[in-house]
Formats: sequence, structure tokens, C-alpha cells
Amino acid sequence: MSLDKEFYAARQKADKDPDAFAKIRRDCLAAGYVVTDDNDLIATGAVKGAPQIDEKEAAKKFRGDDKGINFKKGASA
Amino acid sequence: MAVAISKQTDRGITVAYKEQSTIGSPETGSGGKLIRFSPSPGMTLSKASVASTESRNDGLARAPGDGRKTAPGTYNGPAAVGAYDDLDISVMRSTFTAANTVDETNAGAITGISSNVVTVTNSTLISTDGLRVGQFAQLVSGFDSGDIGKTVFVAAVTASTVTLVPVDGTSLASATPASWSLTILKNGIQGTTDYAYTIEQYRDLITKGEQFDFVRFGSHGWTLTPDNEIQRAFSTLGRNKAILSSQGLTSPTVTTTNALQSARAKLIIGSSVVTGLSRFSFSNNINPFRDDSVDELTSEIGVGQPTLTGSVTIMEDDLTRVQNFIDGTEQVMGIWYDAPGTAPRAGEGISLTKARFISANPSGLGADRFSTREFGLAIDADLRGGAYDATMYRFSTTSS
Repeated sequence: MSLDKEFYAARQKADKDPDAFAKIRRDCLAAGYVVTDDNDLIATGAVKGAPQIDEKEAAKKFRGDDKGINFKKGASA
Repeated sequence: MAVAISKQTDRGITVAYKEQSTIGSPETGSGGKLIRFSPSPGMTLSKASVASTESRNDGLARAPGDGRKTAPGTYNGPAAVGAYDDLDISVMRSTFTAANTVDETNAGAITGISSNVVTVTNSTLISTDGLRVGQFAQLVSGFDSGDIGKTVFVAAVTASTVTLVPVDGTSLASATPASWSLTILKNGIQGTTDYAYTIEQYRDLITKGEQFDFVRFGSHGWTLTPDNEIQRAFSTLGRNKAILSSQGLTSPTVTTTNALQSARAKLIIGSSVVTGLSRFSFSNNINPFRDDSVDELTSEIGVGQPTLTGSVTIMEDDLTRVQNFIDGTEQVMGIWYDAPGTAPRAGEGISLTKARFISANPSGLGADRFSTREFGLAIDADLRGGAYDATMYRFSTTSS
């Protein structure tokens, strides 16, 4: 089972097995997911397989140059 | 006997716009569209005043000279689905992405729905199907019959799961359909394309017009207060004005005939619909500015760094949001407003994926009214990639 499906399966049983949920939560954060306050999972570009954003495009959009941006990986919301 | 009014009134005015391609060559003819507006300041021409610095001994002074021209303005209007799409494009600096259907073709069957988390078989929701946090969607088929037609907020997305929060505050019923579909609403995020317009304020009664050259829409905003229509506000900055002896933009068309009667608004924070939303305001200002040329004929209107401001006012039922303010928690937020009618309802929504509360001002203590708290918003550019698009806000609409 993929990490995101495991997360929601563990979330459903979080009352009975909080430790298992805490572990999968940590694993998800380490893999680059954001875990929200409501315990929802969001895949950022740091997750393997999730689309990256074009760094030069983003720099052009927000800063008006094309020097690229250093992205912070796997921040928690 | 009919007798025409010989002086202009403030109501008999047509305001029309048309996209302009060449600076200094205002558009005329057909193809213009009407701006729907409430009583507004409108546009005007202003000239900078160049004060004389000459020191004189005759007790007299020189008059100030004329400086650079600009044409600033503001239009306010009632929100209505599709009424201001062009103006919104201009301020977002990007066209809309068309509505898009997502179904089992790539993602496969829905294997479960629990607490609004929809799990699908395949890992394609972000990559192929294009689901992103902050989109609004409408459920079309496959879901529980009671959920079909509901408008939902996309609160979280992974490759094979998506959290769909119904804006009406209900929860999705369990279902495991092999075939299903939902429509991601037409939506726009920020870009870097600049648009300019000819705007004409035509005085219908005296049949004369004021034509503004090369106008950029500088800001768009939304304001909701109880028992009022949601008001939209647009600021403009043009470079010059001319007087027309007849209508330049002939037969401008309406953008939409829709009204947004008794607008109702919903606030979604994270995966929850917040009860007791009292007010909200939001605006993006791209800070247009006039160039520094001393030759007004070649002056241009540039576009600056965006300034996003907003606030939500919530009637107090718990102090969770105050705790969020204390902690500086980053939130995913959505505002949705729609017109009454049967589902799927026509409506529009704004969403933020990276916002914090920077103030939490309570209403004064000790009066006969419900306590409210106004939360100011700090809005950040979201550069996390994946399920987040690179933008500060997203505007979604059911308009075609």
C-alpha cells in the first residue's frame, strides 16, 4: 500500500492505535508531505513522483528574475 | 410631449472597456463590454502640479506648471458570477484554466470515502488529473445521490487521495463507485502577463464621452458585510484622457445578465466549514505606476509587486482561531459565495493555501450583540510544488 493510503488507513484507527498513526505521520513528513492541523495529507513537490514546480518560472513570477529559488523541502503546515 | 433632459445626470452613464493592444491608440468600434457598477468615483485625469520655486520681490508669484498626467479611478460593483472575469484576469495577470472533468479514466475506481477523504485506485490525482489544493469542484456522478451537485473545496491532495469538503458544511456519504466524475471549476492563479484596456465613460444624455487610454486594472477586491451584496472593487490607472463627441465603443455588450441575489458566503479553514462567518474582505493590488518619462506622450503604466490584504470576521463559538493566531499556524482557506437555486449552484470562490492570521481583534466588550473577532491575513507565495500551485491565491468561478 502506498504511503498516502497507509496514512488515511492509520488515521481511521488513530483512536485505537495512536502510536501507529504517529509513526506513519512522521514517515509522511520525512517523505515531503505536509500534514495539516486536521490531519489531512498534502503532497508537495518534495514528494517523489509529485510534480515539481519550475524554479526559474516561479522566480520570474514572484521576483522578476530567473536566478532560481531554493525551495524548502517538506515543511509542515 | 417628450422632452429630453439637457444636462447630464450621474446615472445616465455607460462605462465600457475593450482590450487595447497599442499604447496611445485607444480602441473604438464594436467588441466593447459594459462594466457593471454601483455608485463609484469612476476615472478622472489628474496632472501633477509643478510649483514655481522662483523668489520674487514684487509681492507676486508664478502659477504652478503642469506635470505628468495619469488617470486613476475606482469602480465598485455588486458581485455576480461571470460579471468581472476580464477584470479579474487583468489583475491576476493570467487567463483562467477552463473547467476540467476528473473521472475514473486515469484514477480508477473510488475505493472508499471516509471523513471527506476520497481514496482512488491509481496514483494520478496530482500528476495526470491536475487536482490542486484550493480548487473548488462540483460532484457530477458516482457519489451518493445526496452528494451529487454539491460544491466541494479541495482541502488536501496526495497522488491517490483527495479531501473534498462540501461547502454546505455536510460530510460526503460513503460510496465505492467504479465510475464517477467531478468537475474542477474554471479557475485562475497569478501570472506575469500584463493587460491594458481602453475605458470609456459615455455620458448618455449629452452624448459625449471620456475616453481613457491604456488603462491597467490595478486591484480587485471583495467585501462582504451582513445583509449586503458582496461588493467588488476595482482600481485603475490610465495614461491619458480624450473627449469624444460620440460613442467610441459602440454597442458594448453585457458580460452576464446574472445577479447574485442574497449572496451567501461560506468560509472553509483546513477541512472544516466555519460557522458564523460575519464579514470578509480580500484584495490584490498589483500597484500600477506611471513611468518617469517627462514626455507624457510616451509615458507608460508599469505593474509593481502585488500587495494582498484580507480579513475574516467570525462570530465566536470557540477560541481555536485565536490559538491559531497565537501559534502563527499556516492555514488553507477558502471563501465560497453562491446564489440560491438547485444544485449545482452558480458561485465563485477565492482560496489561499499559505495564509496566517496576523491579528485577532475582538469586538468591544459588554454590548447587546454577538462577540466577533476579526482576523487579519498574512498571505504568502506558495512555492512548495506538488499539490500546491505557485500562486498566492486562486479565484474559481462557475461562469462559462
